[in-house]
Amino acid sequence: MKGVPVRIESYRRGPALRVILDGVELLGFEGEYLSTVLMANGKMAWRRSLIRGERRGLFCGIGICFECLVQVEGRGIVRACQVRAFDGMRVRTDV
Amino acid sequence: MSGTQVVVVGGGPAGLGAALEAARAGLEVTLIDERPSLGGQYYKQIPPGWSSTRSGWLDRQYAEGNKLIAEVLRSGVKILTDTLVWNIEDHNLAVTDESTVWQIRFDKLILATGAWELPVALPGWTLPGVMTGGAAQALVVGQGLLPGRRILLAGNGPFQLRVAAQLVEAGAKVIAILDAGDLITTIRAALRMVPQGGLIWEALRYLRTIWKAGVRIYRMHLPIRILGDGHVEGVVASRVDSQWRPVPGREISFDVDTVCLTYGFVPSVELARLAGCRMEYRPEAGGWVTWHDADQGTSVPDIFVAGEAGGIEGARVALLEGRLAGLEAARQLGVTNRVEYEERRREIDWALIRARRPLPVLRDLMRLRPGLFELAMEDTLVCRCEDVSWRDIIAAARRWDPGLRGVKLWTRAGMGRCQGRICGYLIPRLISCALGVPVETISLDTPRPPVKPLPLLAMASPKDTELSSIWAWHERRPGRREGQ
Amino acid sequence: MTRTVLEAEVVVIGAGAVGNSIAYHLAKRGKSVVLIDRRAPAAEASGANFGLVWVHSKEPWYYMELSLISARMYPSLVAELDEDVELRQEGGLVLCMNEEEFKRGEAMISRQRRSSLFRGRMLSREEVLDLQPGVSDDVVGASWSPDDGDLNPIAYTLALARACERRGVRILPQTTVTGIQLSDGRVCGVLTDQGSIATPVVVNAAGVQAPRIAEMVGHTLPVEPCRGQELITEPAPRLLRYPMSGIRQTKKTGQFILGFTEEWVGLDKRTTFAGMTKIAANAVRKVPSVRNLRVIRAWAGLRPMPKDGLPLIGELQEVPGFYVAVGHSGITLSPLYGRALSDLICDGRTALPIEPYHPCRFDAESSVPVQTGEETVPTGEERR
Repeated sequence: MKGVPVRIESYRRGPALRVILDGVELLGFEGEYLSTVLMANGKMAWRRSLIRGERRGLFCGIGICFECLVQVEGRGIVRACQVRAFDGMRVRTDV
Repeated sequence: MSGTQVVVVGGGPAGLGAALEAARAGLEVTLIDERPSLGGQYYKQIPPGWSSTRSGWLDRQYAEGNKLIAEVLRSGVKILTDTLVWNIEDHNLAVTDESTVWQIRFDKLILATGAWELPVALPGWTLPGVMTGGAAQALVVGQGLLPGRRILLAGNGPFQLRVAAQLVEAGAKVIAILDAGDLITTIRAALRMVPQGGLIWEALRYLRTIWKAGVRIYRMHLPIRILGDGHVEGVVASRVDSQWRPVPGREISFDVDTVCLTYGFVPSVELARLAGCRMEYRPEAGGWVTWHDADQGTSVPDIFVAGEAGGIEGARVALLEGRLAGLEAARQLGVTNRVEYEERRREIDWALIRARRPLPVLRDLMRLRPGLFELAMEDTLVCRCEDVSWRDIIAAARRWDPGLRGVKLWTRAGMGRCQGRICGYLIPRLISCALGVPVETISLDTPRPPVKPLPLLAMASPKDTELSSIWAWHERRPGRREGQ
Repeated sequence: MTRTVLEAEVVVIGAGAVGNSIAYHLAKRGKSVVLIDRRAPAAEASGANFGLVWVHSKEPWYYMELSLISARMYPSLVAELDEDVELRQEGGLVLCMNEEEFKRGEAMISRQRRSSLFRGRMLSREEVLDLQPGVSDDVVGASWSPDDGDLNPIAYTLALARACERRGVRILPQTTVTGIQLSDGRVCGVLTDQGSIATPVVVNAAGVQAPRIAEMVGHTLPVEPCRGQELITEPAPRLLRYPMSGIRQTKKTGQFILGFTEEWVGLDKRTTFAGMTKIAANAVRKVPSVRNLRVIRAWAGLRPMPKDGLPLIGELQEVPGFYVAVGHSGITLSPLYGRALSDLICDGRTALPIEPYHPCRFDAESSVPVQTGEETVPTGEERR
């Protein structure tokens, strides 16, 4: 059974926001990194590796492994765990 | 080009300590961190405007961090967050905010670049759902997100207990904890720690949380295979001997969707190496560390190192080393008076002795054994960025060059975006295990900028207008020396 | 005290693209070859260059011809290596961003036309934008020839090394040459820190270290290191089809390699803020859509630059058995070096037009004239 990350209820977060991922709207909160938004919305993997095409997701969480890459409109390819989500952000995966 | 007396790179405990001490001495200090907020990995901050009802004892670290950061903010230190240091050339740091680049000149530089968690190459380790313990901690503590529904922790040493306790407290279902160490060593270490207070009580608190939640700790167990198709679905673990090698017939399976690996830390020395600082190999301190003297000075004049980048010793020591580096920078710049300096120095030195007392015990506990680097199979990936397998790496090392540069040329391992941060730790240890040569004899690749990737547009837009004069893109007849 | 551990008919010093090619071609002719490197194949310039197989802007025109002949040897050589080295030979451009650059390009093209083999020409702005989408609208034109191309220089050099081994070449990495043994003024052996090798023939293909090797036989090679800094980006979707001087997109991974500088700083391989920002600015100016790509690494290679910029190919007159094969553009000329040296060593002569490149041309007592580019030198077809 594929496990889905879940937001902890005892946290009070910033205002809600929308991230548009591959054309689909995802719910996020101000202060969340893109990786949090992706994972909280059920995505554990959003990229394929260079040669083998393996599915890859977050590994180090601190911005040094470069596995969690996404493409943010206007900013190019960034690490999802280092970029904070903002309302209306347009993001593409499988980059 | 802007200049400042002291530049501190890294806003974790060491950097905060250094900035504070240097500012206290009356120096002009700039503190640079690539993240949006200070605190580094140790003082994980929750985003501005958030709050959480976490239990008190977990909050202490957070409050400590808050207090320290507030002090730094009040002290007149110039703070540059969201700013990456990507190169160093003599007394100039090249920095970027992702839209431009510029240089900051320093009189004294304090490197407080911290560390990251070491990777473990075992079959299935690249599956989504496998992450470091620190990643899980950052998600839970800093982002209020449980990383998965059924979590297995695998590691060695007490840090894992903290991660486990935080996960449990946050409501996560931790299926099991695999600890590579044996019970006797652990209890012996615990007993040695009792006279030092502090840490032992923390550990017991974590254990209590874990026991109360019914989470079982499997001692002398290592994960040997992570299973799943596109995502973690299970883990096969095995009981291991004292060298961490699997004992045949003692496998056990776990049905999980998340695996957190917590086996230790790797000092972040990219900037130090780029600056030409001498490295030394100290396996008990994380491997290759920035060499430094008792005054936190590196082999390069005017450059200091503090905290994990000089050897893994924990946050308490890091903070004190930061203070020491800040004080020494001040002394070298001639702004301290002898009496004050000696008093302050004595204070810090004594605090360091106390803070370092648990280290021998902790290092004993945290020591990695050879079995950890024998888990990889022929086809197991070692370089994640370029998908290079153990087989190809060992073949290249055996035939051509038992060094990172040669392996890189032959296999492309280390050529990806992470520039060998992950595989650069693994490859020397894997080669050492396979070829029987000491890890420290395996040469590293040439350190090169940028320390982390930055956009071409930023690199193309230096703020320093003096440079535009050398941009005259002069054409020359190929092959002719200038002037001929 | 050294003891002879090995024997070979030829010892090649330097396992870069040049040394490997020479060893390979000699092995094909049946020679027993030892290839030595103080580090490993492609450890120096061959692993730190731009990857061009470049012809049309090489001057003087007879050097362009030499480059062209070498470029035309690539397809069959690569076919023998039986590995994907990402060779592309469909053409290449040098962009002109203003009228002055365009005029200089036109002058260069007309000089090159002295060679009947030359197929280059100037392209108008419209032609450039049509041929190479992605180039900035500010471009004024470009010089172009269909004979230019690129490859993966590391993959190529290592493929050569593997092919060498398949043909029985003994490659000795991590081996430093400490001396050349002479007997009656002729080469009779090579001394290394791992033992000695008896051989009547030595090829000095040691790149920027070639002068040091030549000193061992009392010869001064006027070769200076010329630093070239480069940047490489993360992989990107296919944009550029043709390599350009200073900007190319690799075939396999789609990474952009950007260059370059020409600095005389000795053996200093560091990259600099000034150099890196200059290269980045040049790239963004010429191909604006790369601006969001991230640079993941900068490096610098040292071109072995002979005094007049032209290669040194041939046997030292005063030290029979000691051959020199050194110059910049070792990648472009790699096949040619291989053929020329194997011809010289096996047959005592070659049909390839290498007369202008004699290594003794700078010597005061030498009878070999130094070429200054103005003389008429017979092309291959005209030669007896």
